[in-house]
Amino acid sequence: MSESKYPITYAVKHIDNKIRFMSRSGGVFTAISDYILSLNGVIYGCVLDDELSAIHYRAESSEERDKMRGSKYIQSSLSKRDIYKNVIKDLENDRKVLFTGTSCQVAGLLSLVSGNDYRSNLYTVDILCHGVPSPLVWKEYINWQEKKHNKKIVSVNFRNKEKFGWRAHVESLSFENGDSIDSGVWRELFYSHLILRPSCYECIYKSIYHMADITIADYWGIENAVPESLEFDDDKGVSLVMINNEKGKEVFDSLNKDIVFYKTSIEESMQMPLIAPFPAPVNRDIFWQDFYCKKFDFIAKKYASYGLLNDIKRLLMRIKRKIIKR
Amino acid sequence: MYNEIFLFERKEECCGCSACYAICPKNAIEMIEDDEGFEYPVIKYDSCIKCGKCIKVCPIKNKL
Repeated sequence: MSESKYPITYAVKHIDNKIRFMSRSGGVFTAISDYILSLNGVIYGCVLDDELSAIHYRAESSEERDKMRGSKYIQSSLSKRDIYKNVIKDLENDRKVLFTGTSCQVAGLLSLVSGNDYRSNLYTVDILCHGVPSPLVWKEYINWQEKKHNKKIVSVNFRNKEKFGWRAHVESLSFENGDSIDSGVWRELFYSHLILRPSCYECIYKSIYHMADITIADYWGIENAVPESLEFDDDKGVSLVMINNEKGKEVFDSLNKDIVFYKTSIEESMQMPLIAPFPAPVNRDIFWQDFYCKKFDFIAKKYASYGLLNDIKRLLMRIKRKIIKR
Repeated sequence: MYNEIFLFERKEECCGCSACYAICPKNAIEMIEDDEGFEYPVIKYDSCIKCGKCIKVCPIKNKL
């Protein structure tokens, strides 16, 4: 069969709204990993550990797997828990393995296992990746928030959909005493592209052809891809699912009971990470000089629109727009 | 097999996937965080036998 029929694209939602709220997009990772778990398989994916560092974990139950839901917006470590070596061990023990990660993390694993017979038991899912932010800046950000509020942060929701909707992209930080705050500082730093890994600016995986069996993402542009009359989009999150090969198709065809889906086309699914990497911002070096020399408060104000002055600027812009509209 | 092992010249050439770290038969590669907090492989040349497996497995070098 010719490869050219791939990728096949779908708009997908998990049928359980509770699962969608706990997921970054439409909850398709939960459906895929449930399928692999039902085959007595093992799931590898990214979690935030107790120190709030992004790290890959191994899960054999749905409870452990649940911690992998939702995107993390930081580069996760594959070395700290010897993830690739553990994947190979599981494959050698004849277990089915689902590995999820960025395109380069999937590429590294596929390169490691190529030529081995156990390769057939490996299922891979990559996320459509903008680039991975610095774990060091993340640590400083968390320290800054903790000092400012004089409380320890125990969990992070990088996109609080329940409170703000899918499109808003507001992060919520929960403290040990049960309080929580909402912020856009990490989102702003992320989209500034100043804190991405240098290799991300030259990423070789930014195309519609992916090596993973399945690629998952937010379905931006859903309003054009699925007829409005179907009321598919409810701002609770829709996944873009790209089926990249026969194996991906076999998995997707097994998800029927857990998902609702609509077949779309790649043309209606285009977003920047399917085309080219984001270039390194011209002020990247200046950012890092500031990061080393200044307090994080300065960084948040200069690079992430934080603080009273920025709030006033935003308010003035809003008033100006209203006056112009009149 | 190899005279000297170099995994990358510019940081842009390493995505930090850790495939080289995982394949090294002598555990001669460590993943160390740089001054931006990103992990990069560092070769312990005392233990390196220059077999070149790390270079062959690199997904960026081989544009898999």
